[in-house]
Amino acid sequence: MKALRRFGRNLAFDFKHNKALLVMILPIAVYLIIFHYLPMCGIVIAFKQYNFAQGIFGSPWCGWNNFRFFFMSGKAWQVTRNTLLYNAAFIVVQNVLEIAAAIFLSEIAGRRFKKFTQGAMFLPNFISWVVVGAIAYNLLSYDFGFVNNVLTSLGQEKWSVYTDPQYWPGIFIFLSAWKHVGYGSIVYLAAIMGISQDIYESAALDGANEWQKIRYITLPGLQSTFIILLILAIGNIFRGNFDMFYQLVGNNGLLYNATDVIDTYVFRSLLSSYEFGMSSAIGLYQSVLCLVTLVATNLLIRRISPENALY
Amino acid sequence: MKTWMKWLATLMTLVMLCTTLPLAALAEEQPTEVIFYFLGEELEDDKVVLEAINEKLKEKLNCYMTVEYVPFGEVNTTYPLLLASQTRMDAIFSAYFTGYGTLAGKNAFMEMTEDMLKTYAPITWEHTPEEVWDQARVNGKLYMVPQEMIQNIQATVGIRGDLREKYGLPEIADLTSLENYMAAVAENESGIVPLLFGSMYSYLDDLLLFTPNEWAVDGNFSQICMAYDLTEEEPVPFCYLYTDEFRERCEIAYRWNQNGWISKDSLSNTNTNRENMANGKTAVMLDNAGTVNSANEDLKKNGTGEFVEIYDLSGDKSMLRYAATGGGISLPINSQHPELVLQIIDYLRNDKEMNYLVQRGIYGEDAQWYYAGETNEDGTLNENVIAAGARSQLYGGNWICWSAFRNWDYQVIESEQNSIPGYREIFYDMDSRSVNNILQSFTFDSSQYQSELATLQNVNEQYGKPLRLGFVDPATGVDEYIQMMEAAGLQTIIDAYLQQAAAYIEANK
Repeated sequence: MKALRRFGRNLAFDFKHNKALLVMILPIAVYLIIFHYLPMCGIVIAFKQYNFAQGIFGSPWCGWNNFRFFFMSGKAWQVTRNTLLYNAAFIVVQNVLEIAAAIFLSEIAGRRFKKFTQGAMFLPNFISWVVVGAIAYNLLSYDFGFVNNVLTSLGQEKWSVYTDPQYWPGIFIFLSAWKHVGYGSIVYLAAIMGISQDIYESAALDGANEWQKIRYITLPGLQSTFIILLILAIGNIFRGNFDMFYQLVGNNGLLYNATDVIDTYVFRSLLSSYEFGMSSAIGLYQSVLCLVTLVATNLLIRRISPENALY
Repeated sequence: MKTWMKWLATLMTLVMLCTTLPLAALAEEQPTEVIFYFLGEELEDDKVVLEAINEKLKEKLNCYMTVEYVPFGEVNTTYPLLLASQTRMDAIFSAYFTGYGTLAGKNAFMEMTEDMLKTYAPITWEHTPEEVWDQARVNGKLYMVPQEMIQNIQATVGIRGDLREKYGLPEIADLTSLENYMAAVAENESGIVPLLFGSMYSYLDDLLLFTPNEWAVDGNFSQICMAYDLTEEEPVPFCYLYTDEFRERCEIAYRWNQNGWISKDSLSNTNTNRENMANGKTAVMLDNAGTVNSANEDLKKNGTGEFVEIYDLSGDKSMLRYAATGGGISLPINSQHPELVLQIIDYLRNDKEMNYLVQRGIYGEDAQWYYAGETNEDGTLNENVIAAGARSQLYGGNWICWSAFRNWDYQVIESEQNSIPGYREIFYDMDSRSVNNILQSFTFDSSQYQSELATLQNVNEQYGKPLRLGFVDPATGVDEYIQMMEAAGLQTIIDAYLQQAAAYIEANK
């Protein structure tokens, strides 16, 4: 109650003294309300038995029924775990590689080489997962794949990637890094550029070598960037990258135990049933989990290093 | 005032003027626009043919058709969203594979009452047999004008005839000779596998399980695996997963897979069987006769192989006549001109000249089609056999022409030069063995079981598909599959299904 009253007082103060600032925030506020807050009303569909004639708001309520299929399948835990673990692995591996790439790029002297490397790393970001899926199939397919053609001509056993789930965590982590590291490293590169050259110069005067500069100046300088990116990534940790998982695995049931994430599972189960309520229910489930982890992470960071917390 | 502001002001005034004009007065003379949504891609000549159709429509009904297309691959995504978003449209293509039964149960379509049909589509109402209407009824109500078409969708075997001749093998007469052929290909060929499945693997069930046993399956809810004996007058459905026949079928598939005949890529390949054959990747394809016939054309065009042969291994078994709900037209719930839609259907379907125009395009050797010159026994021209005109590839790739307006009397057959030897014989032979069954018109009311159906759908994909394609040893795989199905609520659905089916037979026999 007290907080609310304080909020009201602050708002009144702002209206009186900071009109210009409020006008500046107006367009983005309108945008957020129209495109992000109003559509949230659609969440009710998760609790409705949707029918076409009555639409989202007119359809009858059905309680928690739309969530039932997900939990009765016995797969809820498995796909949620897969989603979480894959995303955690992506976050760790990609951030390490991005930081390494950014430091590498910032230390390189040759301009041409630097541009070329950066361009080459950036390129995969523009290739769609559909294309990546097709390339992977052409490389790894059992009977027609390039890899197996080479293996057979060398007299080796064929490699059956599409029937063996054990390879897939590695493939996903590799491909996801291949596609995203170039893009992600730019953010870190910008942060490195923001570190004052004076610090490096004084370190050089004190006799620090390159490794020491990286260890004691660059890495600590990247800390806040890292934490912000981490919090943002954790905000999506229960959302599987549908494009990637679906384009690479498709309808290959033998791999599902290792490759199924929430999004692909829901897509497959509901593709032909037109149950918009059920798919929305799982979307809501993901959002709630994401919100909880996001708030928890932020709380934790506020405890450890308050200046880096998001809010 | 700046120039651009003047322009803007003028423009706005104009817009306001236009919108306030008494449009209603004009509308009486203007022909009405009727919007149709069809499946498929628009081809170059579609516009020309549509113009010709519209000219006639304006004369006769003072209306014209606007046709929008939904790509075939988006039938599960864009298609239901069009209905959910209440996009302005007056008619939409529908079929069992676009979820007709489920969507109708969710009020996506307007009911077509008997009165409406009798008033606005009288010829169609008279001409269409009662069992065809019956198939389109969902819980006793009609939501579709179904197609009238002779069509066989049962599996036939297409093989690369040039490879068979190369190894001096006899023609395919049964599973054993098919296996010998596959063994020869597996042993001697590289770059081509005996049997590569793409997205359509259900034909294997058809070949090994359903047709030999004269079973029909419920295609609307394939995930619950319910079948019935199609020769019985009042059949009792059963879940075929529990039968010995299913185990035997899985053992055959397992043997084929372990011998390297079914390609290990069959789970990850996303092409159609026709594409795999046309690309020279597979030596055998299982598909319906029409598709095998088309694959032969494609193969020759691509130059990836010499020719495809077609075989029918179903012997003298009876088979189910193709569902009337395989293609039809429904009225979306917000259709503004339901009467006009029905009138258009009646006209395009039953007027011979219009039906030829819609289904085949414009006549002439340099246009889309011409008569193939084949004659009937009495020496008259057989108008049901057509040959492709020079521009035939530019019309007819979508479903406006080939499905929803089809009429038994004006059925089209490929000419001799466009058919694989034996194709037509198989076509007519299968047709002579086709029967209808009372349960063909039964639609399971699934509204209380959506959770179970969604879960079963997934179990089928994860456990059923690899087993059916022989990746899993049936000795353990069948039981595991059934166990997962039961955990997902299979028994509940079977009970409900049996009850509903029995009630349906009781009410309709």
